[in-house]
Amino acid sequence: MNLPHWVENLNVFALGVVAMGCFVAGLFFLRFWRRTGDRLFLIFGVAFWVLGANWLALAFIDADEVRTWLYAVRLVAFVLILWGIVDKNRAARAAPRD
Amino acid sequence: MSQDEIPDNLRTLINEQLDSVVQVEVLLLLHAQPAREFSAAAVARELRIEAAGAEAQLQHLRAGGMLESTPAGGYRYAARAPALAAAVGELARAYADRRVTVISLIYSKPRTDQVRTFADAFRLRKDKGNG
Amino acid sequence: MAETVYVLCSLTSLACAVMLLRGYARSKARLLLWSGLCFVCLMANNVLLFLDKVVYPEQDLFLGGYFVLWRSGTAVLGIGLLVYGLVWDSE
Repeated sequence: MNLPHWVENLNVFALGVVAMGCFVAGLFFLRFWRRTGDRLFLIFGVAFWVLGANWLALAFIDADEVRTWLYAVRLVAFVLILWGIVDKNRAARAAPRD
Repeated sequence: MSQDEIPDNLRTLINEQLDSVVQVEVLLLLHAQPAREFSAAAVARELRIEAAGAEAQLQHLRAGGMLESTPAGGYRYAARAPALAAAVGELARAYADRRVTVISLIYSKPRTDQVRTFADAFRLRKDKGNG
Repeated sequence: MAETVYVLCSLTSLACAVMLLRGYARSKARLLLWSGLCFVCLMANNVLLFLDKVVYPEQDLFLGGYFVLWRSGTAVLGIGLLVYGLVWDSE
């Protein structure tokens, strides 16, 4: 990529900030999972950790994200979130006692 | 201080509509003289509160269906539904006899469980209650 | 392939944002506000990614700024709002 240095540096820094934020968010969700036993929080926690890994990896990858496999990681994170939502609604219908 | 003696309709009224002692005082002031039209200034004078605060409470109570506004810009007690009128009557009785119980009911409303509400937001079919 | 992924991620983020913000409108629970806004930002992040890689692949600039910075900016804002909400409004 032929971007100015400051742009690349700022981008990498921002990605680090985001990765850290995702790690913390995941921790909170896992704490909620422990507190409530609701599987949605376990799934969201893992999903945000995966998202964090995605952004962390993006900081190291110079080449095009599309040509590498990296978008698959993002896909995993969002599929997990979708699964969490579906799972919550299936559980609500099957057993009304969460 | 027994909270069991508070009737259910009053309990519901407190949970759904009443947030403070000032609000209860304003409501009962107008309830005591249902034929009289009150302005915010008059309420402020009688209860010794700020007029702006009185106006806010009057508007809130009107939105809750317990007061009506008059053409002159004042307010009058007029509970929209008979169930509401009954509850306000219970409030007047309970506030006279068991003021402390009523006040502690107002201020001990359970705070929303943020985490639980977060999970519930993802339910597509809303059946309240269990789970 | 990548296009499908970014569209799917955008739609999922949008769905989460809608569910959370509607939940906030109903319950006034502030955690839902912050997390809902986070998903709005994540949706923007995915949309920008789609624009950057699929629609304008040769272009580095977008609306006066660099694409990469818009993208990481939305991510920072989104995750920032989420962490703020988790710290202050999760009891």
